[in-house]
Amino acid sequence: MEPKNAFEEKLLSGYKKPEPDPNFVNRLEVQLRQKEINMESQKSKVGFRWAYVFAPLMALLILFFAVGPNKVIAQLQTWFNFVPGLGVVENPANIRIVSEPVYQTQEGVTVGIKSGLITPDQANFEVELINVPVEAMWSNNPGEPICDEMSYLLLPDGSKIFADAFQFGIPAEVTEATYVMPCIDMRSRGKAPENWELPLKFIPAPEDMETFAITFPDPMVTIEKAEKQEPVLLTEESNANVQDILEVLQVVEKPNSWLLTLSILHEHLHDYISHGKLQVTDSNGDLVAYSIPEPDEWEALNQSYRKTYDHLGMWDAGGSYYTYIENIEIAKKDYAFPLTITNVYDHETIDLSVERNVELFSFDVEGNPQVGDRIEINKTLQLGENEIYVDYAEVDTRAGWSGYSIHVDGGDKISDVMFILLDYPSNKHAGGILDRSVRPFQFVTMSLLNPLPTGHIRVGLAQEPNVLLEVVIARAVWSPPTP
Amino acid sequence: MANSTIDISNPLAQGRIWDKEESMTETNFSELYRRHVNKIYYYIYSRVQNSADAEDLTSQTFITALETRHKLRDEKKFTPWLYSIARNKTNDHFRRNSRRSELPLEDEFLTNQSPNPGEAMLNLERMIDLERIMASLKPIEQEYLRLRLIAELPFAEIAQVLNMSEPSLKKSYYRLLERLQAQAEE
Repeated sequence: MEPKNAFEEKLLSGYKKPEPDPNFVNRLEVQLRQKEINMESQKSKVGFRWAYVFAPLMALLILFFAVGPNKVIAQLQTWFNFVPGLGVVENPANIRIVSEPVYQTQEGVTVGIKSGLITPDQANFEVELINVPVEAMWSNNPGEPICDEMSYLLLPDGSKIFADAFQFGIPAEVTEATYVMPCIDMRSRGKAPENWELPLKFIPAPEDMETFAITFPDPMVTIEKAEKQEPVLLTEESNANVQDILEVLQVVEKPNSWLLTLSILHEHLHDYISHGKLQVTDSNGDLVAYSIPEPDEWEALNQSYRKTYDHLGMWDAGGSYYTYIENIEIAKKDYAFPLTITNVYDHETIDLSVERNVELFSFDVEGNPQVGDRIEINKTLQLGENEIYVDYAEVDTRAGWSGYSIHVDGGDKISDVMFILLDYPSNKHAGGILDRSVRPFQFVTMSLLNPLPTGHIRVGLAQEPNVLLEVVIARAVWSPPTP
Repeated sequence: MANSTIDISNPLAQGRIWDKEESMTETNFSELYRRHVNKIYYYIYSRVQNSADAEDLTSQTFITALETRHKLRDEKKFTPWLYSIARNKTNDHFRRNSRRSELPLEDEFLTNQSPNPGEAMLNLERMIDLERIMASLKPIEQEYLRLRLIAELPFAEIAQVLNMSEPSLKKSYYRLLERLQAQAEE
């Protein structure tokens, strides 16, 4: 068990753990054991891994004899279909859409349903929020109640389908409904207009609406974790590790392009932060151009990806195996296949040895400072085993709050720290790294509060520094399926 | 074959003999059950606040784990995987019972006070402050506290349950604690 700090102990001091009834614990043990025995007796002699191989083969064989070889591929392609701008459907024959975008405006704030995709099995609505005041965000109103009422569809017969049930679809006989949003998600109650009602009509999708098959290059892929190297300090790009941990998990073949969904197995990603500079090269080493799909397509790709890799239906519980999704679109050309896709990640940790709330430096502010006023600091600080250079503080503002943006050079190892004004504590912070691929790290940290304090300002750490351990180049290799 | 033992007092052990070599490579489900059942129950109880639902959801969690364990790629990830199932089952429970709202975490602190009256009074004074503070917590922040303080999972496993990186979790968690502490001291 990891040790707890004094405040955690204080939180726990008023809490008494509710012990389960021992009879229940024993009863469940017996039940589980009986179930385990039953499961073992039902196991066939075919091993589990082989069953995975045989199941799709058997399905293909059945299809082969049932519909003939020429239709097998077509049949497979109807299992998942990608509808640009709308989403993913299993059966493209029964798609309905929202007839037109619907918007409502109250007190200058507009809420709308931009589009909707409805089948008997699933429904997705794209909600658009316009001009919602930033002051309404829950984080700007500590202690005040947050919107916790779920949106729903109010059907003509008065029944309701709540948003968390949209994933199960809307009955085909429902042709109109009102989308009711009691309040806006993540906003404090009363801080933004409430009680939104958007009348929707559901109509059959146009017959010529484009749908594209989705293929999964190797959905049962087994990934061997690349051999872990000892953490090293990056001094040159050549020191970076190359690891085959990037995977092409799904491909949507459009007439003129491929949409590739890339991901990394979750276990590789603890403490890994993407530089976001993905690169595609062909087998000759020549760069291959790609684009990022539009937001609608991106969302649809993610839906499909989640359907496929969410084996246990646990996405909202964080049970996924893959994470850090990237989607790219590559124009169809006669490339020298295979293509190699790489992305750079920083592997970081937090240096918990550095003490918080201890004065590290101070500066003086006189008079009535204005946004943009700069106070030179020019001080090198030792944080654990590493140094940072504090360049200057600048009077700044964010979302109506004031503060000093402190500009820092973190050297080659420290990518972020969070400062706090020791005599003016605040739980609102802003800032971050300017460009993760640039060394030395340059970042800004800002403690927000009103009114802006002046005089002698003492500064310490609100959060320990992020320290770079190594840089990893993640790599995937992909070729389109041969016809 | 290594030496075999049977623990006849353990109903899960009856009818099966396993040896040490096997238990080293593939931990038996009964052992995993015994290791986790109390904390899974604590975690679920902290959300549903009644023993009947907590028992039902604890049962569902372990049955699902038993039925789907073969899908788990890495046995070392059993703990976060199990809590993901528990979390999902509890979410489903609230979806099915949409009229019943989940009790905020501060209520369980208030309803689980020390049996000692004097101590309880001290706790109550402190918890009244915490109630005010915690009323503003997002559901995910309540999960940080449940998984860290009630389930006592290490950060690495909480990060897996919540599908976030460990540094990001730590940062969010300590920022939350810092905020709560600052508010508690106001």
